[in-house]
Amino acid sequence: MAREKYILVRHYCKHAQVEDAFVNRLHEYGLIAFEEKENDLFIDEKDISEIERMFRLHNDLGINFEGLDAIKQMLKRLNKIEKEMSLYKKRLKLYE
Amino acid sequence: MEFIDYYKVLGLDKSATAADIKKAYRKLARKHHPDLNPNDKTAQQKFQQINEANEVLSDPENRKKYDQYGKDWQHADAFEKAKQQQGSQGFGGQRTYSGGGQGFDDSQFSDFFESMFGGGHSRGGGSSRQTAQFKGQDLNATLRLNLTDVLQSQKQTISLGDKKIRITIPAGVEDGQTLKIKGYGGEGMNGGPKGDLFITFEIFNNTRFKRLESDIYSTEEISLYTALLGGEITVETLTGKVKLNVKPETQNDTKVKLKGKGLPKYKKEDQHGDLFITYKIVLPNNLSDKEKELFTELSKLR
Repeated sequence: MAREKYILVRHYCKHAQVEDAFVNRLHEYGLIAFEEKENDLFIDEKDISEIERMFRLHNDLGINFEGLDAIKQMLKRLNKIEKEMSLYKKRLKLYE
Repeated sequence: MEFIDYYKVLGLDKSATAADIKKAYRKLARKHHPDLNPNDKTAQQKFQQINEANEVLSDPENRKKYDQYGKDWQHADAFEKAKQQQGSQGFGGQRTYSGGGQGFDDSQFSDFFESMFGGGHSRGGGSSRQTAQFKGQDLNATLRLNLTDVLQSQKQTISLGDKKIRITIPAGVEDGQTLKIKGYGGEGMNGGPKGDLFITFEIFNNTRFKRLESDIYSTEEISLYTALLGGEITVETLTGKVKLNVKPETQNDTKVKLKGKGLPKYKKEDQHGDLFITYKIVLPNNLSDKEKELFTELSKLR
């Protein structure tokens, strides 16, 4: 199993040019998780794509944090429905 | 290189006000944003077109130039030179999207745009937006395989630019399935992690079987006599021919299951799906007088 990598929140914010407040609010809304070690906050490397995606939605479309949460849930549902639909299509092909 | 009607892209006409442009852009951006359309390959292209149209039409100077020279864009260079000689600055542009989504490249403005408003380096005045980009760009690739290739796990070397990557394709992989190869995407920014490589499989069915996950399906024709009286038939499977006993009085469309004769289950190579065979009874035709006589006799017994 791959070893999990954590990135210091303040290091991420500095280098990605994202305000600390934005990342903190994502955490407040339960959109990302922080890992605390020796009084420092870390984010899991695998969450970075998600943070970047939410940053783009927030910046490009002006979506607030409630909206980001709603979009996250809807995309999750959409993904599930698309998978189900793909399976139904394959099943239908058996009768063609 | 073709003229692009930016008004049409935003669903507007030339009389549109700045507020109309802003409203139309925002509405279309929300509809086609790549992050809201993760599985729509055309969304990124549409979003780029919308951004480009907004870049031109939302800037009064760009819009003026576009309206004046739009359809005659070939003359825009002469216009530009004249402006430069008069000490004017180039046209400014502010990119409105700098996404790092899978395969999204915000630098791809159309040739028409580049020709009329210049490349990114010459477009002064625009302040580049925050991108939040830390992780490297994710890359996408498609790998085409035959269905018979997925019977066993196999190692393959794929070329990605000048880089060669050795990957193991797990047995039983499905059409449309995506495999994530961590760390094989673009370089990260400012010490950020590398992006990932996503390989989507396109499986061509080079067999006579239909597939549903690890199960496969086929139909076998049997004669009326085999169906009525039973008998032995030989059927094809993915791994060779097998003999089957057809029970007497088998009905049309009867389904039989050959356990474990399907495809290997994804990431469970020692387990296999099943082969389902549907019997199709073929009635005899061109009956002889003798056959007709015997069938008539049979029908009287019922």
